[in-house]
Amino acid sequence: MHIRRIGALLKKEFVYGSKSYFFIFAVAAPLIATLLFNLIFSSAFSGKPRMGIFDQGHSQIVGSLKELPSIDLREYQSETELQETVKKGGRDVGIVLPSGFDSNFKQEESMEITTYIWGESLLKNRAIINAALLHKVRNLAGSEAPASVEVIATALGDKDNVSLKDRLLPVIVLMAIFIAGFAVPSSSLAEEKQKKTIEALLSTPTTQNELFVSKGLVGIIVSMVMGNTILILNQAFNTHGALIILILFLGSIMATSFGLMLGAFSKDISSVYSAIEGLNVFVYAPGLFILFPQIPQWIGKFFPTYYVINPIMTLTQKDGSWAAVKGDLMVLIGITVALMGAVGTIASKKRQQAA
Amino acid sequence: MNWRRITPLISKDILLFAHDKLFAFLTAFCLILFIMIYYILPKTVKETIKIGYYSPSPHVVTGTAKEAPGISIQNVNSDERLKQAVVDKKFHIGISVSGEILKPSDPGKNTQVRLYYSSEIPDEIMETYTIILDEMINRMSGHAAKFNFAETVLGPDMAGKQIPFRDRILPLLVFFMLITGTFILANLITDELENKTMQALLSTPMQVTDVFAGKAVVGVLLSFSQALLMITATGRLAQNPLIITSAMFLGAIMVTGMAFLIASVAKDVMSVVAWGTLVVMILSIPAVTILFPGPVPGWIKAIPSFFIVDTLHRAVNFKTEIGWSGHLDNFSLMIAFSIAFIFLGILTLKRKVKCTLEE
Repeated sequence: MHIRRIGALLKKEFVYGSKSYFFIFAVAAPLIATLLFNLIFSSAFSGKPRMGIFDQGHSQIVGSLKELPSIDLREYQSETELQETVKKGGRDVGIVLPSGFDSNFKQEESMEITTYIWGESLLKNRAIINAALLHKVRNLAGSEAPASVEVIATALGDKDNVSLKDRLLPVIVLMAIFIAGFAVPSSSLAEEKQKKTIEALLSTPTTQNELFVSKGLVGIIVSMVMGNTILILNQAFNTHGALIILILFLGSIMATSFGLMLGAFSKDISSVYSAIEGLNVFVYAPGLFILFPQIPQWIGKFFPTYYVINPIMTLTQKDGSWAAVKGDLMVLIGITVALMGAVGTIASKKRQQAA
Repeated sequence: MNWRRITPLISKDILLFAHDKLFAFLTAFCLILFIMIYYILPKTVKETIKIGYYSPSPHVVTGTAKEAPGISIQNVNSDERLKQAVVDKKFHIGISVSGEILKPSDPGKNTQVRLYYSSEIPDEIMETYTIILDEMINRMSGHAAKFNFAETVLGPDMAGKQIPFRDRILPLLVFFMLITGTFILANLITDELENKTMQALLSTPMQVTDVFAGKAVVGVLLSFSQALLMITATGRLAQNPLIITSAMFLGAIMVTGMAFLIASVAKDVMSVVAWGTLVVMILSIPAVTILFPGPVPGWIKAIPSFFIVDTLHRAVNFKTEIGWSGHLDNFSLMIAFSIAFIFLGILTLKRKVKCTLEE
């Protein structure tokens, strides 16, 4: 292998390849995803019970309920508006507070409260909203729990709560690594084959191995740059920066190896695109397990990308250490070495075929 | 239109698809993977708050406190077991009561109620549990609120029979299988134009209309068969089969029309990919409203795929609550969109073929 030839090929890849659809997509998609996820999905996934209220009087309950961070409360101007919103699923429960609600309650008069429940709302959300309303009403009336009861709250286990917004970050990082690592080298190789420029290249002293190495390097570089950019944009780098970069590097090699294998076996760009579309589910499946911890987590371990996303999650969002990611890292190294071996074998076979 | 001429064309295109090993493999791979994803995802929804309860006198939590919907209380033998169960996430919270809530065993001391919770629980959720516990104590001590909730459930009441995530994602997976046909068909057409086989075909007695009819049949067949296989394998075709198959069939026609449109604007296979991605991204948006239910913004209803995923979702996930009458609006719009896309697609593609032939 000739370093200068690889350098020349690398320059060509960056100069001409950077104008390709896949290259632009690899850079733009993770940035757009970061923006979108932060703007839209963080609020959609909050998981708080959504309560709607139409206050016919001026109850103090509304202000009191607004102070509860566990309830997503919204006020409505009419009962019809509230009812329509609940019917469409905009709120889990809608409550109509009659005029004079506060004084009636303080005078211990029996009351009926009109409540609209969205049919698809979870039972627990209905229960939480009911309990919250009762709790605030009791506070207002000054009828607290019996004084003979003392509540002591005790937290058990290690603190390990990660908001859904934070769980999304490793998924976007994985996306950044894989779009670049997977799509850029595979499309570049397939395009060379489709346009038959590969034959022209191989008629020069350039070898099949040099071609694979240069395309692989482009994938790794773009992949690393994008992975790091997403982490920097989200201020996720911490004291384990070196370890995070190592994982990103190994993840980039994994993605690029997959990309090179795909490019070697695809006859044209459309085949590459279809393959990427299909394999996306396989690549991003571990993200589903990170996003939804209620899904049995062991299933995620069957996917190679789990060993990229899980340590990133542990290091960036759970403040984990080397000890916490050691196991995953070893598996990741094993997978990466195996994939590099496979790519090497494919490159050698292609060289033999060409010969 | 001559079907005798069209039939061999259909066979040729299907053979081309089958002989493209990568396309055939990927179609099978996606199908198997989507089915696996469906079966891996949870088949139930955990919609109750599970509370573990320990007290030396085990029947303290009874009556109204235990009957609250959305809350399930289970007695545990010891304080230690309760703590372990909370750590193991068998319960959302654990409540350990040292004595009687109404009558403290020692008049000089308060009854201690210990609330165990996992430290993984975010603070705002913890607040919810504290409120629930507070409410339970009030009920148990006879401090029931003096008002009733006059409840009206709007829409089908899904309490206790919530739609699992895997059934919510199913319309999206089926739609993905439908849309795969768009790429295949658009590629087939662009290939024909690029390789000039279209000119060869039209130099025979075959008319442009025959070619398009053949392509349309192939597109509908490929899309529909993949979607049908997907939904059959998940066992969700059993209820409302006619509504589901009709929606998928109209969906297949719609995506075929889109494939024609893509092929008519695409210069080469690469532009098929670029335009196709854009189309898939836009058409996937309505599926998000199924995954995360809530009010659907008006602009989402302007995306034609909304009516396919919405019909599939309601037919698959609401047994008999919504009959044909409930789907009439969606079907009318699906038929209108299908006709419009096929018509527009054929019109624009015809113009492109004409231009290509003139060149």
